Amino acid sequence: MTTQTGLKKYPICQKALVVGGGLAGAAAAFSIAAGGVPVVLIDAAGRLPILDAHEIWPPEVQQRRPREPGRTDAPNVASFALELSTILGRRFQSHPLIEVRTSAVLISATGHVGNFLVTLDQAAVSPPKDKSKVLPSFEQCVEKTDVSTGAGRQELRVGAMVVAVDCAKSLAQTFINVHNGRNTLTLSEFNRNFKPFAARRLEMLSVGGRAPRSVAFVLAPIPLSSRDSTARALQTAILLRQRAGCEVSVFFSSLQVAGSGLAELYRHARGAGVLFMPYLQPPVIEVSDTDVGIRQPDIFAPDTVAPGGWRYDAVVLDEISAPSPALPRIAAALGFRAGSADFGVPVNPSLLPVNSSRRGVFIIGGSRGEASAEDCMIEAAAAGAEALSILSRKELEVEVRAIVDPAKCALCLTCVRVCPHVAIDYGQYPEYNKSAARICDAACMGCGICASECPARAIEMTGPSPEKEAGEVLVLCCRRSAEMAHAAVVARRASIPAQVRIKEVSCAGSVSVEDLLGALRTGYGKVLVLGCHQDACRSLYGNTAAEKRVDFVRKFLQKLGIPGERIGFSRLAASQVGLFQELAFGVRR
Amino acid sequence: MIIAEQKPFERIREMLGSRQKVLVAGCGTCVTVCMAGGAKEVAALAAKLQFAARTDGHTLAVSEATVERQCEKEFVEKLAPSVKDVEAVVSLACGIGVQFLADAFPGLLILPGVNTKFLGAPEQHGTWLEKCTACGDCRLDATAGVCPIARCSKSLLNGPCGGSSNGKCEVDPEKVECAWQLIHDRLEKMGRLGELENITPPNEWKTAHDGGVRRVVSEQALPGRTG
Repeated sequence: MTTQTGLKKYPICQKALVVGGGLAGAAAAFSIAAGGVPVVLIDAAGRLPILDAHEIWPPEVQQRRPREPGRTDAPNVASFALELSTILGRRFQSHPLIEVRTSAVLISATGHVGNFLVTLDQAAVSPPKDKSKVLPSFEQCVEKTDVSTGAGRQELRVGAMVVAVDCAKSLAQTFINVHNGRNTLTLSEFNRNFKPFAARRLEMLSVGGRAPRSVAFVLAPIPLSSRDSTARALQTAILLRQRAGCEVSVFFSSLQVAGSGLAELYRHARGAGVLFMPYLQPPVIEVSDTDVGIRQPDIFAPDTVAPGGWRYDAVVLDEISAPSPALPRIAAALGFRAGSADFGVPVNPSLLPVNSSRRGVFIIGGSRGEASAEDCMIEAAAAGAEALSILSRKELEVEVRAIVDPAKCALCLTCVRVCPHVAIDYGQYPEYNKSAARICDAACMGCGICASECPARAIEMTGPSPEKEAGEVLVLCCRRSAEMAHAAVVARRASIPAQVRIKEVSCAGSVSVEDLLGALRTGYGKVLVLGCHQDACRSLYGNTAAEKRVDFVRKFLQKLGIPGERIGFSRLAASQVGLFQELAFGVRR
Repeated sequence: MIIAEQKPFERIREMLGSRQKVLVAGCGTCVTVCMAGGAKEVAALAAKLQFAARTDGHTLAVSEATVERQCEKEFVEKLAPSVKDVEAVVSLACGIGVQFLADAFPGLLILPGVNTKFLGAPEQHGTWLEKCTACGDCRLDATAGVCPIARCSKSLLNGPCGGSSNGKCEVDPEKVECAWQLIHDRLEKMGRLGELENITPPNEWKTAHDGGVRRVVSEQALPGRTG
């Protein structure tokens, strides 16, 4: 296989787009603008959600994170949040580098990192119903500048994008029958009246015309209860106790304290005099005009309610978070496959903390999963730093990793469809007088999935490729896991058996059926593909694609009466050096 | 596009018998796009054949070649050097390509490596669906752009039948959509539902294959009349 290497340069458009004007989006916009780069902040609503944010907590009730000893420069999330919230009303909309566009919906985003061409719909009467994935395109972005295309459609050039659409919060199903919005409220409704952030001086809510003196929080039973809503409930409870002197109880079935700072928050609440009341079955809530009664079911006779109970002026009901209904449309506009649980990005350690599978697109806050205010701030800062690392330069220099032979391309669009990084489109090659697939080097991650899937074998990778040279055992190692384990073996100077040939591949998904058959054909006794763990593939499904292909070849071998052990696929992490030795060398640990 | 599917490997080996020099010939058009017979499938089949032969202790030399289209004489003729020394060619093109090879190389055994299935399009990556039977008398104007001949299990011209339920066909309620439900829904959207009351008389099938071998002539393009 001939290889060709080279570097390509792309101009960078020094501007960013942030989708979603909640806490995460506003904070990301601020951190990018603070780096001197202009930002366009859009939100589908007519008013930015951050302007109605009620849950940015004063420092004394912030979850306290243990800091490294001696470190004083750790970002003080609490004070940043407070500062942000206090300047929002005055300065946010008039920040010289932040352009706010409300009632604006993302329609499509073609192009690549450094140079996206974004289409917005600012009429936004109703979002488009079509959720079909937008095919990528890389050709228009360079020539066009910002233009209006009529009918509320606008085109915009940006170099990086941050998706920060908040979760949708709704009342937990368990409490639907007792919710009246007056003295039984959801956490959001309660905090909206209560305005914890607005006040160093507390603005108190009134329930039935007077300030409540006793408030109960009823957390949802597992598995509905979440760390985020638990934290929000505890933070409100502490404020009510400390600043308003209320009697506060928290009813819970299993307190979610397995998150950062949550155990500390719980201790803080207990110290402040909040009462914690565990329940086995959801308590019975009886609403009257003047107050709300809570009684526990009798644990010895589950059909009856134990006598006695407690009365409160107001009861706050737990909420659950769900992905915003706008997310699937945004994901489609960005060319992504849907993530798990319909969030914008699958749960995948290779994409932590803020990356998506598309270069230059960062996903944070409620678009990533359920996120606390603190998570939002931290992720916004991380995405801001990532975006600035791109946007502070004028030019992007990238390595050419895959090359299309236009003469061979049948334009079947397989590569366009399978590319997990939205890096392939198609277009005219004048020198060949035909259309063919085009790989955008700026967007390409070099995984090689396209090359292994191309039915016309028209794509060639410039990097390492499985070698066709005989030996007894061929081990094809993903460079993000097995190859790193192999490097560790070499560094330890452990012996590598002479009959084993180890080859690095860009991704397990780059190994095609013909590669596997070809290796066996040239005389290898055994071929082993080592890829990353489930849901940890940097290219999303390269590992599962490899496993499928190995299974396919194994079935073929078995039909011929050849032992299936001659081919294998295993998953491991870079740190699993012992497992690597066991798999590759047959060494018993 | 013509949709094809590779024949079972055992069947291909059976056709080849004990022949020792074989060419696997791919086609770069429809069967490449539907992943049945492009350069990639050629390489995989060649490797499998060689591998299987070695396992059985036969000697077998497999060569590979893929041309732009096996249904053009000019492209097929490019295979001449590749077929020189072989005893058989497995063509991974559709039935048209196999016949073109047979025409071009009269003394040579040409074997079909795929089953040509239908005229269709990808439903999603990896699934193809029949859309057209090439009946020769297109009536998509009357059926709201949904072909009942290709997509109704009974090819009914006045549908639906009693086997339509929840938009699905009783032949396979999991996978097969009722074409007449689709026609109904599209007509309704266009405000043309009344047209369903028109009865289509029994069809004249002679424009389809039932009328014998068909030929299309474009006077415009005939030699001597161009330019």
